[in-house]
Amino acid sequence: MTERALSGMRILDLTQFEAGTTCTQFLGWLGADVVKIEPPGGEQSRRNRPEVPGLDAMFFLVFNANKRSVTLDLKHAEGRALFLRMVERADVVVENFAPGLMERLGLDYERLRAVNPRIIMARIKGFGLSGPYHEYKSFDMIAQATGGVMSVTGFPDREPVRCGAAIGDTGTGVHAAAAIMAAYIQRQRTGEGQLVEVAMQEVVANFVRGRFVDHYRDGAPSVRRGNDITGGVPGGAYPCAPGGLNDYAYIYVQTMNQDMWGDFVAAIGREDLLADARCTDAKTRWAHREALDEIISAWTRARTKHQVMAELGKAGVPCGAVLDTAEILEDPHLNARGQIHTIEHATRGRVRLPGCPVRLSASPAPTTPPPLAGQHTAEVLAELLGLSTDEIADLRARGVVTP
Amino acid sequence: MPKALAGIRVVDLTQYEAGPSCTQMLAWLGAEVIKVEPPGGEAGRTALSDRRGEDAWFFLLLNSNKKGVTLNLKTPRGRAMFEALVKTADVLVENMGPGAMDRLGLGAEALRQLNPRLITASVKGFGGGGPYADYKSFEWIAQAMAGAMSMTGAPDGPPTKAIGGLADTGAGLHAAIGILAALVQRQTTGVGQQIEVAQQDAVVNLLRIHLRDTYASGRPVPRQGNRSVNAAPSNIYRCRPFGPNDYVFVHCATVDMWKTLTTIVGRPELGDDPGYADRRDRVKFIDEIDDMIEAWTEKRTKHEVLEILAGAGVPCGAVLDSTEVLADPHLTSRGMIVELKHPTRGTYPMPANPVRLSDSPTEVVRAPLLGEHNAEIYGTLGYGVAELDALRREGVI
Repeated sequence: MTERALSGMRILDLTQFEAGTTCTQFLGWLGADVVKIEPPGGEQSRRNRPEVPGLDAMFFLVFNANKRSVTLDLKHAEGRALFLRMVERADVVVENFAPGLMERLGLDYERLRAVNPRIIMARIKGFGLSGPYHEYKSFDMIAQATGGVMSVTGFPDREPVRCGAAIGDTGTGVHAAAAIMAAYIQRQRTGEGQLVEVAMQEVVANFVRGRFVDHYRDGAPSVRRGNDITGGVPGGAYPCAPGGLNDYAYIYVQTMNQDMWGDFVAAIGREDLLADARCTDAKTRWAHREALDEIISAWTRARTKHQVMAELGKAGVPCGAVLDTAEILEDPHLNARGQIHTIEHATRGRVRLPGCPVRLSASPAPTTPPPLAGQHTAEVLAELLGLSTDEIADLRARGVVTP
Repeated sequence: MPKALAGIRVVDLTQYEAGPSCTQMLAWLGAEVIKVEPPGGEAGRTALSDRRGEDAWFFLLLNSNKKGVTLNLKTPRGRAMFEALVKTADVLVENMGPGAMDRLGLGAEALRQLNPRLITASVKGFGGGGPYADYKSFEWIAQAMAGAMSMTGAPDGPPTKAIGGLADTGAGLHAAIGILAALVQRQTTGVGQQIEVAQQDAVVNLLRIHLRDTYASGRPVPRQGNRSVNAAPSNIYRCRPFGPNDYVFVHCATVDMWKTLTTIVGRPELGDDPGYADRRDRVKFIDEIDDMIEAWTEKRTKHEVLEILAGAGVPCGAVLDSTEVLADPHLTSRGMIVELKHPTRGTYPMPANPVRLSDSPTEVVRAPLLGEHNAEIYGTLGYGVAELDALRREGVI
């Protein structure tokens, strides 16, 4: 087995849906042994809108690569006892259950620490473990609303809009992964584990902190500005051929960089604008933005977004084609970099998944297929707890583990 | 006070947001982060300021808990001092334009010849290899190129950028993960390595959930404003006094949540109607359901609605604006918003570290003034007061 950054770290993964599963998948890519502990029948998101009835949902597949699966009934006393025996042999436990559930199961941090003082327990919650909202349920969009990102996304004359990317869910998982590794590093000095807590609302506030500037400057809330960058021309999404829903290119010429404006007008064949009084600097361009945006749009409309990006990108002007989700999986750059991985899934066959978004030169991160529910139950129980085939068969017969 | 990353020294060559968000997180976790800026200060400190000569708010938000030194890397003396610093470091982070570090002669391999244990991390727009490698990027470009913009906005409107640092802070956080993993690996191998994060990759990671609809249909995920094609109710609803952010987001995932909601808004018969039991089936009645909820919310403020619905177990979030976030009673009671004092900017509220480690508490310390720690850091490298004065006169620091 190839040596990887987190080789030797064992994670008991109690997570479900997105905010937790995305954390443990990341640690799996980095080399940790992630043992996903699922209730009999499997974690709920396996059945979250399965596109083909009876098969694991794509929802599950995009968040559960690089893990092993064990099914274990934590509502069964014997299931909990087995879990605690596994905790003795693990480094990390991650959970993102609804508030209070782990306490009701008698599996809070104090209990885990009592059986293994080296255990790091990461708890991912909507609003955290304390404070006035801590019992409130959360989802990605709830965290987006209460973390501030929704208030600044959208157009000035319209309602707040949610951000498509799941910064409340996956964003939180990413923060939790960082915290777990920091605790692991600390444990190598102290010999002791600790409790790690991440709240989705706080994670969203961390993502959006750079947009709180208006508040500090004016004492007033930051406002919605659509796609404009105040003061930037060009600065926004410009329409491209053939005029479909996502046929736009986002172009931005930095306001303080007059050379970049020169590169831009050269690229669109409008050097005449260099002598145009409307284009003396960023300020005059902003004052005449409507007329100039029309000139720019006339050029972009005559090209596809990919042509616009190639021509401007080669000229050193920041430009991005607005890619949709189907185009992402086909994107030549992501594919050339090996960022889109093809896995062979036991029931779904070949599936393309985005791989590990961080590259470590000494820790390769291939994507392995997400496990079927309980696929590794016997293997893990034998390996971690030394249970015999007969003992496992007995547990199975009594419904403590499946299959 | 114990800290998870105590003893780790980070040389921080970052600017704007994608790099500084990474090193700020490492600093919160206890690393000693030394921000090395050109003698005039990094662009995020100067170019984005609302007041000439004053550190930008943007800078203060992304550079807490760091030490600041100035250094002109283009002078031979400055270069020698930088190399001395690198030899004492565990990690170096940069987010310069494509190829800039190589042009300075500070590529990852050159740095590791100076210090084989050094972990180097680069945050780039598109990353090396692949057709877009040389293209410039920043937040909105990466949002466009990763699919985020295509799925944000109203169904009848254009693709819309999301105003959170998905690509900048997002890539910074991903880089922090790479660095932490490499620190763990170094304890086994004894040597550093190179970490690379592309903003485009990081944003794809943040929205991977939405790819599932593309797998099922082979088609792009559409813009849906705030609604969901898979669940109702899942939308924002107007509240009193009808200001630009007087809305709540309500989402019912389970039948219990739906039953509770219908009871609260005075329509319990819908909670018992089997035709409305499944969140996907309810999408058929989406207009009726949205009207029903808004008729109830628009009699109340968003904070009242939050307390009633969330308190009853119905997932609900008030749409807080930036001012409200900085004053939110929950965030302030948890210490997520802290008050900092700055020598020239005065007192200001600051979003703190969103990850909590029970044995590594984060005390947030304001961002450094330009070159504030020159004497302290260069002192540890053996530079005396007279020597530093001379270097200052020569424009090296």
